Amino acid sequence: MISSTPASLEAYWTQFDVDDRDLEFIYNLLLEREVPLTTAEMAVALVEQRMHRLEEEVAQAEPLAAAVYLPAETYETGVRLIFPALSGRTGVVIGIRQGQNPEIGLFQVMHVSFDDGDKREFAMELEEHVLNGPPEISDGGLGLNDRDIVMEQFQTAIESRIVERLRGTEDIVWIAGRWFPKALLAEIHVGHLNLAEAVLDVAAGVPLPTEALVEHLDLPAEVDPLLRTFSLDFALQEDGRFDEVGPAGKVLWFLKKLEPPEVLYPPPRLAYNPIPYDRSGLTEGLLELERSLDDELGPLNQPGSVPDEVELAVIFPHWRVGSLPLSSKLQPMFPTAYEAPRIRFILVDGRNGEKFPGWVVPQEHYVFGLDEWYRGNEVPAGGLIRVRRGDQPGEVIVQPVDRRRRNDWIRTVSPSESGQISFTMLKQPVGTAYDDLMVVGLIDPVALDEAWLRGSQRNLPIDRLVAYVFRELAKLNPQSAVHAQALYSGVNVLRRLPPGPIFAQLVTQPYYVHVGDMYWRFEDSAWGQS
Amino acid sequence: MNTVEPRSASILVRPTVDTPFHIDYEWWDRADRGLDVYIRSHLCPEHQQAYSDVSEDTLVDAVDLVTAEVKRVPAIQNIMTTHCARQPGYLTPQMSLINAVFRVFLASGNTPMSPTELGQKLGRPAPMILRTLSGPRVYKGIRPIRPD
Repeated sequence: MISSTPASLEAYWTQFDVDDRDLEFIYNLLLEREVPLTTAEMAVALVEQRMHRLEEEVAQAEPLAAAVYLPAETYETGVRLIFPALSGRTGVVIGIRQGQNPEIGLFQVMHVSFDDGDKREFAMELEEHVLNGPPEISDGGLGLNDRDIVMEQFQTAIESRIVERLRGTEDIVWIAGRWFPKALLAEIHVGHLNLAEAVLDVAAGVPLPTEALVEHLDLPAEVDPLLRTFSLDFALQEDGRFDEVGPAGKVLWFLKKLEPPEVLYPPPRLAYNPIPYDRSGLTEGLLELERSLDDELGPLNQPGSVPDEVELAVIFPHWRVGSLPLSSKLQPMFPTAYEAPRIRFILVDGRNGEKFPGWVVPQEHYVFGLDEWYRGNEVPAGGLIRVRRGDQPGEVIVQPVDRRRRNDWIRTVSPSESGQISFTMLKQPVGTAYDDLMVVGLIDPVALDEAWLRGSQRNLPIDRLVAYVFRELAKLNPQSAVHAQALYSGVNVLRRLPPGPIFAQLVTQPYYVHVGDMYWRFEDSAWGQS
Repeated sequence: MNTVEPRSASILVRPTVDTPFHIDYEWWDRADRGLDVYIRSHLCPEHQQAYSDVSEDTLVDAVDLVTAEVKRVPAIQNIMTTHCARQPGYLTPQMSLINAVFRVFLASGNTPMSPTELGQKLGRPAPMILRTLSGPRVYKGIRPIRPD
């Protein structure tokens, strides 16, 4: 018989999944309404449909109450059972054996032959199982047979199940948060697309919403405006000339040919080939330093409260490319997107309010567009900048810390005539405050790029690469000691690496001797032996 | 880090972020490594002790949480998925990528997963996972599913 526990409906909605009948319902819903629907709109309709179905199932199950399968019950061979969790399939018990699982305790296993010939085993005399409290109409006052309360409590889970299921279907397409059957899209031909390209060309680098393109195309007036926009969005998405670059909730189209190459193809300086390494030897101090460096390629820091402003030192590869890392702390500052692989937004110079375009490349974890801004403000690699959200949506403010020109002795990278990249101390003009351990000056960018591209040093095995940089940096101070953070900064001049594999070298190689306070020295004799 | 040469992780078609990977148990046989011992090391301390005498061939009845359907599965895999993999600290951000991926496969009963799916579970970039798993060396038997 059906038990009546208040938790039954809660379990029902917690375990909600989109089955074949739900999918058919969604198809019909889209066909009936003839306009693209959001996941939320479909979720509301589906919940209503499920409630109706639930009422029918309970009404049908009542006369057969004794035959509804409950894992807690005992059944004899020959008994016919209904399995609500298998969409109401029916079968006959054809055998019983003792269950074997010390973690569960005593229970039986029955062998069931289904009406379609399928044979499976099910638990019996099992007290603790969610099916022992099946769904019912009365839910003890929890309100879970009320559509709005169900949506309030389970909306996220229900929507994610719908998305999961619909993504697996080929004939329903999704764009900009809405779904529609592919077969019913309005016809967008190549002439329309050529016209859209021309409109975007004329806009000269300003992304446009779909509506601004639709008004230039001569689409049939009888087509619903929402379907017109959706059909054009889909056609643009399928055409390689166009790129959707809007933040989440906003569709903006741009021409790929107008996008900076650094956005379409990740710059080689930012490329990281992951190196498996043992983290177990990293000390608490090194782990803490790794967390504070917040490298976008390292383990992600647990998301905490989003700060109003983030101050960071830009490491060499990002400085050279003109990018910012999409690290745990910085990520919430920038616009996100549901699907767009590139998002165009506006950067604002916090000093003078000047605006310029920036690009978020979420999959590659960087933000591009700061090259000229770094040069204009004389921000060095290792220079400190502040990032905060702008007053307008989609704007991000960047500001150098303590902008004033000074001449300081700083670590400077200099390629030799033979192409060897080395470090020296030189007096350099610097336009902002900087992190002493991270700062790297550069005299001849072109010569450095040539030496870097030749690749003889950046392709060294990691042990030799880290040792080379360590010894270069050790030369620059009388104690010959190198801070782990300075090593991280220095290695990244030659190859993009997160702190983890670099720090692992310090604790696993015998030629590094810890001298306290995150400083290490190089033991030449141990190096020779190794 | 355990590595075995010379077999490549790559299959004939270059894997992508959507290529399903799994733990190739045959790789462990070929490499003559103790998979059973290694898997046991991922059990929680309580069950490492409790299952120290349980043979890798021992089967138990696993009961599906939703349908109550019973399936015969190895006892160690069962306790891993029903208990140990649900303990706090089973997956941590500090864990190496390979270890974390291996644990995800253990927790799911070695259900094939693509780097995209693994990235969602681990909060790490899918391209990074792909580069790690499709390199010239096979780590801990994690390989793309071979097409039939």
